[in-house]
Amino acid sequence: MPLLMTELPSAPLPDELALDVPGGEARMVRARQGQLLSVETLDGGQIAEFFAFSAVDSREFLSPHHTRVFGGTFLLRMATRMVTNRRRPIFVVSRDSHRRHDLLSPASDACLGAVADALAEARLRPLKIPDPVNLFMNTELRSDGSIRAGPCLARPGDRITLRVLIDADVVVAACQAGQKGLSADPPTRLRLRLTNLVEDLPEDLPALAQH
Amino acid sequence: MAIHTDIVVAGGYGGGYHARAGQYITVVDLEGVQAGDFVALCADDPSEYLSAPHCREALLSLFPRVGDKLVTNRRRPILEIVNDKVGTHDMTIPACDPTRYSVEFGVPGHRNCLENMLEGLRGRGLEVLLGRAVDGLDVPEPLNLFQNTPVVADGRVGIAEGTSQPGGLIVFRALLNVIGALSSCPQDMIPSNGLRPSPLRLIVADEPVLEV
Repeated sequence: MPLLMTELPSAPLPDELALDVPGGEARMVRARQGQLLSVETLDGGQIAEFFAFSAVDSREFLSPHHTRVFGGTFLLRMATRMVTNRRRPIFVVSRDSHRRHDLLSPASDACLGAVADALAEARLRPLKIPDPVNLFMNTELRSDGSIRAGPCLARPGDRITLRVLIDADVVVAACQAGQKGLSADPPTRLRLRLTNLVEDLPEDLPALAQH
Repeated sequence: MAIHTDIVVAGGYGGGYHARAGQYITVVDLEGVQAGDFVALCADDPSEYLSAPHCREALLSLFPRVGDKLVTNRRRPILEIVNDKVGTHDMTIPACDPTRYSVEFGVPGHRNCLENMLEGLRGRGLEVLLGRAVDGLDVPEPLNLFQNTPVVADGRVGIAEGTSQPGGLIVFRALLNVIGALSSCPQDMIPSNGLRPSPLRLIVADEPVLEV
C-alpha cells in the first residue's frame, strides 16, 4: 500500500523484494517512495555500511553529516529523518530492534571496493562514494566527545526498517569495518527487504535499549 | 622569517591558501567567537584530502587537540596541530550551504561556507588540478575551527557560542603539500558566531606564528 496521499498515485509500488548480501560483498536495490526498506543481520555481529543516492540525480545522496545537524543528534534513533546532502529527508527510521548505529565513522577500504563493484554492475557513476551510515555499528559517544568503538552486538535477526521518502538507489555492504574486531570476521550475510505492506514484514526481535 | 601567504578573510567570506610540507599554517580569530570552516586537499592529488570522519576514527574523538595528527580519507597524516590557544574546535558539522539556509531557516540566498570555500579553492587553481569544473562534491567535510559543538544530554548536538578570545589562534604544520580554503562562517541566526560574522586571518610561513 503506498503512502496515504490526498490523490491516489498513478502507478502501484513495484513488487516486494528480498535479497541477501553475501559476506564481503555489496548489493544495490532501487527503493520507491512509500516502500519499507529493512536491513537484517542474519547471522549477527555484522555491520551494514549503508549508502543511498537519489534515483534522479546521484549528486544528491544520503549524508550522515547532514542527518546529524538536521535532527540535532549524534545518534540514529526511532523516527530520525535521514537526510541528503541537500537537507531533504530520504528515509525515516520506522522500526528498529537493535538501536545502536553509527553516524560518525568513515567507510572501510574493504567496503569501498565492494560498493564500487556494486555501482559498476548497476552502471551508476556517482562523482564520489559518500560517507556511509553504519547500521549495527557499536560506537559509544561520551559527553567529553571521546568515542569508544566496540564489537558489533547485533543478534541474528536484528533488523532496522526505514520508510522510503525519496526514490533511491540503495547500496548495502557486508564487509569488515575500518578497524579490526568491530564486525564479524569473516563477514557474514545481510538481508535486504523492500516491502509494500507492513503486514509482510516479519516480526522484530524484542528491542534492545538505546545506547 | 619567510611568509608565503598572509590574508584576512572578511566576516562571512572565504579565501584560499597553499602550503608546502613542513610549512606552518596559522589561523587567527581576530575579533573572537568566530567559526572558520577549513579544508585541506593534497596538492599532488586532490582526490585525497583532510577528512573529518577519518580523523574521528583515528583520534577516537569528535574534537581535535594540540599534538594530534589529522588524517586524510586514505588514513595518511596531512596536518599536525602544533599550537592551539583556543582548544574548542568541531569535526562533525558539514559546511553551511545554500540548503542549510533555504530549507532549515527558510532564507534562500544567504552567504554560506560551501560557496566561500569553493571560491577559495577555484582561486587556487583546483579546477586545473582536477581537470574539470569543481562543484560542492569536491569540498570535503570541513574542520570547523573555533566552533563549539558539545555533546549534550542523550547524545544530542549542542550549538553553543564559541570560546575564542580576540587573537585566539591555532597552528598546523603541513605534513603533505596542501591546497585549501578557509571560510569565516556567515551563520548569523544561531549562537555560533556571536550573531555577527567577523574576520579571520590566515598565515602560511616557515615557522609558527604565535603572536599577531
